[in-house]
Amino acid sequence: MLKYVLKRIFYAILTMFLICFITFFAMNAIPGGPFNGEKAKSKAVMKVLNERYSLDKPVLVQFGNYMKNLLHGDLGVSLKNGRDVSQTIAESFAVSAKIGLIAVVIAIIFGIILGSIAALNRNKWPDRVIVFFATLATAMPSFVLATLLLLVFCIQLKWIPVWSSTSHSYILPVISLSLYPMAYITRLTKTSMLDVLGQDYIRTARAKGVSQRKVIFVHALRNALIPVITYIGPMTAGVLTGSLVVEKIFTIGGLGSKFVDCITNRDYTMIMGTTIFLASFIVVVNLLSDLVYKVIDPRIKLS
Amino acid sequence: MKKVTAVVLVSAMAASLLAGCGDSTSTGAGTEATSAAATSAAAEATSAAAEATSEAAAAATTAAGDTAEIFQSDSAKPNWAPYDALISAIKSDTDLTDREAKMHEAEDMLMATGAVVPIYYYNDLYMEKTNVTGDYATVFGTKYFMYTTKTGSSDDKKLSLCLASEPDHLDPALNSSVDGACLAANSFVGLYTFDKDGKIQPALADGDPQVSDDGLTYTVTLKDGLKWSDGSALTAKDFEYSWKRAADPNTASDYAYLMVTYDDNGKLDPAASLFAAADDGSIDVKASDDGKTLTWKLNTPCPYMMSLLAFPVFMPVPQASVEAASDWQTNPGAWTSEAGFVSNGAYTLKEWKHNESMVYVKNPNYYDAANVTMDELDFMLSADDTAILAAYNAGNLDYADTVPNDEIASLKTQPDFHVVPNLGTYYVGFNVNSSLFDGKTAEQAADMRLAFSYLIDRQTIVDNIGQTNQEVATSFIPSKMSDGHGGEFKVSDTDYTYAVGNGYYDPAVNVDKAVELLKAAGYTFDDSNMLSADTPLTINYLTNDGSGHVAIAQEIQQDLAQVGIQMTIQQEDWQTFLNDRKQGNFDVAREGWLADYDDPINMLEMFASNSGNNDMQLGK
Repeated sequence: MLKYVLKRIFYAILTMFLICFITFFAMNAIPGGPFNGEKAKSKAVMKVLNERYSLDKPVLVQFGNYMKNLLHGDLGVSLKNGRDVSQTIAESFAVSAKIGLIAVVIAIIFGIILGSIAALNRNKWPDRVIVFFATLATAMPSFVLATLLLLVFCIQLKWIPVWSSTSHSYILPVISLSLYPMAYITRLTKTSMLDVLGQDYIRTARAKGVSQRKVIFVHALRNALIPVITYIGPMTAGVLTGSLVVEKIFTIGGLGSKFVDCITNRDYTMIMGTTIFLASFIVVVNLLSDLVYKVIDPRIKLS
Repeated sequence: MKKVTAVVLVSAMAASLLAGCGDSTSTGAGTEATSAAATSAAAEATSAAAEATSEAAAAATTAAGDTAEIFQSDSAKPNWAPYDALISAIKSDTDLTDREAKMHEAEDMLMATGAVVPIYYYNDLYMEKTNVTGDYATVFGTKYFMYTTKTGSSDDKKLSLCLASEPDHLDPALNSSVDGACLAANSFVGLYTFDKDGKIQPALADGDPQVSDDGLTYTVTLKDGLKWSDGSALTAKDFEYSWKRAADPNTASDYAYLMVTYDDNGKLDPAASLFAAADDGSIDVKASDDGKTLTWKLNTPCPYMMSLLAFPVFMPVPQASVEAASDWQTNPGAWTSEAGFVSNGAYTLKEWKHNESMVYVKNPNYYDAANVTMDELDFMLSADDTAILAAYNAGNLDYADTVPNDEIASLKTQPDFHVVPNLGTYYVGFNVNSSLFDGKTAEQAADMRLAFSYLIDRQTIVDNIGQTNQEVATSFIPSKMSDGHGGEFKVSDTDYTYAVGNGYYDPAVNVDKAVELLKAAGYTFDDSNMLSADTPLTINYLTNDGSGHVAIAQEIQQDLAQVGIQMTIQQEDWQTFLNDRKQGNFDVAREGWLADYDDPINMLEMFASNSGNNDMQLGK
């Protein structure tokens, strides 16, 4: 187990280095730069800025400097607004994670419950109702859903303000973020549960006279959750790191929009910072979900 | 699951590759057209061309100035040395009437090249609830909210508004955006400010400045008892520090150019700088020992000095706070990166939730605090115009500075929809070095560009795309801009007469005129005024991917198609677009300029050969 974890960590570091390398050179290859604007900066100002951020040096040298600073935990300051990159990421991740975590918990709990209900009532009306709404929610893009929620709850019913400096509500963004994964988990759970319920050992358990509740919760659900966990890992990473669309529509200072805005702005230090953060987050979450497999199903061999 | 970053990076790379392809194809087409024109039409065109060109040139120069010398060029490029000389002469001219004449002459040259095709003059729309009054905007787009009153609401002392998304810099010296200038104008104040009628009034200054007879030395006395928001005294020494700091290249202020220009060795260039140099190499501004008066020296008299003194880059910043930030020397704006910084304007920033909201509260130490009627300004930080309009319609905002383009038509009849004029011009610019003009004379190249101008249906663009009754442009310098000595620049008077009314052309589409000019440039047409297949013309139009800009490009594309000119539209993301436009990787590009101060030189100097804003590549 420990050997496996160490090996995974080694690969993770290698992956991270490659990601840094590719991103750094790719972003320098895109036309444009962080200091371009509708009105041109004077030569003197451009010279100061390029020297200050070493942009006048060859890209390889810049990369070397960047990696050196990175090893000291220094992600630099945003070239666009001068704010500390790690602080900006920490602050906006806190916002995204707060909303995302609630959304993930809701998605998992309701997804598994609804999926199980659908599986146990196969082809009866609860199954049909759940599958109908799950399909609808999977098919609806988040910007449609978010706009719809905004229209109904903020403009028509006026229950929640669209924006407020004092009591900014996170209910609608949580719903927008949770609906798709919830629907997806519902469908996964249902399929997987049906598969498990048809297995011989379930029949055996039932034949032994094990109660229905025990059959479902101890024997069936545990095994049915393996494919769900495969999905939950990357989904959690995705939801926790924020969504561009949901953040723009509900005016949330989360991390999701940073990923896109920094590239639009050619804010090199922010591009590197957000990429490194997201990549390491995903690497960690993947490792964790592999370890959770082992806990749920001891037959799975790591390595 | 979340590979947004990677996907965007890859697609950006793909886009840049595609953009590269687009370039090479358009260049190819351009060369083809030119060589075809050169061979088949050469013989018959020569005599006709000479005739028509002289006629066109004559038409273009009915205006006072003499523009013939810019066509004394042995290639398609205009001879731009006379323009550069003229800009230098304008900058050092002390006779303001003569200065105006020179500025007209410069605009004549610019318009004669046809490289700049004005479309309309900017205006600015905003939505404001009908129970809110008393705020005002300048023609530069700066908005003042301190004297606003709100009635019939439970929180009459709090104004909720949305100008734009998260500002980059709140330091007035470092700001370079219009929304940032609004925030600066409400949280900082300089020697002078704009009142609701757009007139400049003393703010921290006590009365008008004393100006020496040569117009080069200014002395301003400050009001008594001025304070920063933390209660410490604000004196002329703060101005001396702040102006020198803004002018210092290490501060990297975009708007330092209003004060100084540095040469390649980092020395203040006296020929191009407004401010005179002091012995220490900085600008010559000095506070008296008692901190009561501020004196500064200029290199040349400046007719727009008062307009500058109300501009954010001339507002004071508190030295103690600025230098309290640990990395202030390499990160000059660090002191304003969080709420709670010291300022001297009507409001101080109390709370800043990045990318969500900012709360400004009244500053009791503001010099005019007694007249500030609004206690709190809450800003929504968003650039999503759908969300902004939703917040406005839901009653969460009192003021919204942008609305979705598609909604303008239905909103414009409402009483809470407002349009105010701006000083600026939306235009389309030709790259004078484009391969479109290979093998042409400078006059022929200009004729091709002028023909383009005659084909554009500006009124339709304003009616269907601009939608806020923008004034159709007939000159590059917008109407209402001052002439530097008390009058309006864009009116025909005894000293200067425009070619047509108060402009260079009649803005109505004139196909016959366009065809005549294109014939002069060597193109052949059939009887129904369609470009003949022997002399095809394909133009590449570069724009960023904003919906309004693309819609204008499509309108122009249709306008050109009526005589058989093909136009391809190249849409690029903002940064790629800026880069290609700067490098001259285009035939025609969309352009726009909102004036920084009320003087035509601000718009004319951008086309000097050495200007960083000379996207048209004139003189390059």
